[in-house]
Amino acid sequence: MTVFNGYPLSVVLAVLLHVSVVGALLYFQQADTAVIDIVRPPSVKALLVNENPQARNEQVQQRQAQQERDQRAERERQEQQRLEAAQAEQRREQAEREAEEQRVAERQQDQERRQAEQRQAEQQRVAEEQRQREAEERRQQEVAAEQERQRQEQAQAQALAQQEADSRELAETDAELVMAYSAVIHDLVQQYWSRPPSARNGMVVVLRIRMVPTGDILDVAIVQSSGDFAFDRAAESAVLKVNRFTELQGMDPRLFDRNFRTFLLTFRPQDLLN
Amino acid sequence: MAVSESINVWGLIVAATLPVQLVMLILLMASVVSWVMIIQRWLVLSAAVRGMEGFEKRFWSGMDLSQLFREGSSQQKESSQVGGMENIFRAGFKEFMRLRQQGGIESDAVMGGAQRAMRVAYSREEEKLEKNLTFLATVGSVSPYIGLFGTVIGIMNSFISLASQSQASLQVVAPGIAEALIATAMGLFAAIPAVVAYNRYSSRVESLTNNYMTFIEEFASILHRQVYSTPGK
Repeated sequence: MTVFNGYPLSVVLAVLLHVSVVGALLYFQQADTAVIDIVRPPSVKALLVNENPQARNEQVQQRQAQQERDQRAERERQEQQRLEAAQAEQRREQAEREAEEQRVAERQQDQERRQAEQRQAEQQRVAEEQRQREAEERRQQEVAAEQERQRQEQAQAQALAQQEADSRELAETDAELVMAYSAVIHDLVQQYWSRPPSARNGMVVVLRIRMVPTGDILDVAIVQSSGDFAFDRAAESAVLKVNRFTELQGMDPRLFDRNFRTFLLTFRPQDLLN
Repeated sequence: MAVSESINVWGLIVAATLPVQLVMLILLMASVVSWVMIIQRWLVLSAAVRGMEGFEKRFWSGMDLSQLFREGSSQQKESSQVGGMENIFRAGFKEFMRLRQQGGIESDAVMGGAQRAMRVAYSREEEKLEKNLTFLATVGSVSPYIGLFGTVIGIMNSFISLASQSQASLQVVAPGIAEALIATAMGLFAAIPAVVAYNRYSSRVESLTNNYMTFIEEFASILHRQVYSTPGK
């Protein structure tokens, strides 16, 4: 009948339609993700439990031994200083006592032959005084030298402490690096690991892997068997398939020697349903 | 409800790169506009069909044609304009009456004038019906390509970012590709209804215009009869 010009109605309807479609999409998406959270898809995970525990233990022990040695040396040095100081004190006291005795003796001699030997006694006293002065000087020099040595030792100790702190800091960043590298190894091995159907949840197999700094694997040995031959073989062949950890080539040789020349890899199927 | 590690569509759209977001925006707008067109065309076409049916019923009911014309005029005056087939009738009849009342014009010329007037009204009606259908056709054919374009750009970006990663894993690639695929999905979402609507509406328009054509011929034959049965008036 009429040319229906229903633009406003159309616009309202179209916008409503889109809003409802988008809303429904978002709503169902959220519901889906919630469901997915509950039933997580099973995935294989290889855990790198430990890399080279021996080396790490040795390192710790070495550091402890070093500290102990340092402490002992410090104690001994303090002891010696104290002893030396006591000896010097004794020597000085003895010298003074001797001088006193001599003076008394001289005075007696003086009384005996006062005038005859007065000059001589005088000379003797002068000589004695001179000797005393010299002793005093020597003692002062000794003290100064001792102080100097102490200062030097203190400086040395400080330097040592500084060095130790530095090395500790280095060790921290090293630990991070090692973690990163082991994550890389972990991922690579995991990619190649195909779990045999006989794998069960409690199984654990530990492999010892020896590597050279180019990342090539020298050999793989089973340290701890899971008891299931197929599972052991799967883990071993996963490592052998990787063949070469090219990511490790750029690694600091010091770190490599310490952590990755030989290291242990632990495999366990984590989230099997059976 | 959603855990941070789970991927949802809205998060992907928000996190998408600018070109992909632009493509998505374009597609969303195209979809909205094409739906506006779909609904509006639907209203227009069904109104035209209804109008045509009603008018044909009245026309063939044996009513006097001048009576019918007057009804249409009063309807036009009091409410909205008349449309569709009635417009063609009114144009032809008005021209016919005018030419006949002038007198001294040959019957052939009267018939020719009436037919010309009806043809003009017909092409106007046809234009009204087909308006915006080309937009639907464009959306239907182009929006998949736009969506594909967005997807290609998105995947390209995700691969470029993958190149900077030392180790490639599925978790790195997957969100980028999912994000990119949203663009294709939106393109299809816009295109499918547009194509369906275009095909449906163009066939409807065709049948309507065929009906108009037939009506023109029928009306012309009626006028013809009238012209030649009462000569010289």
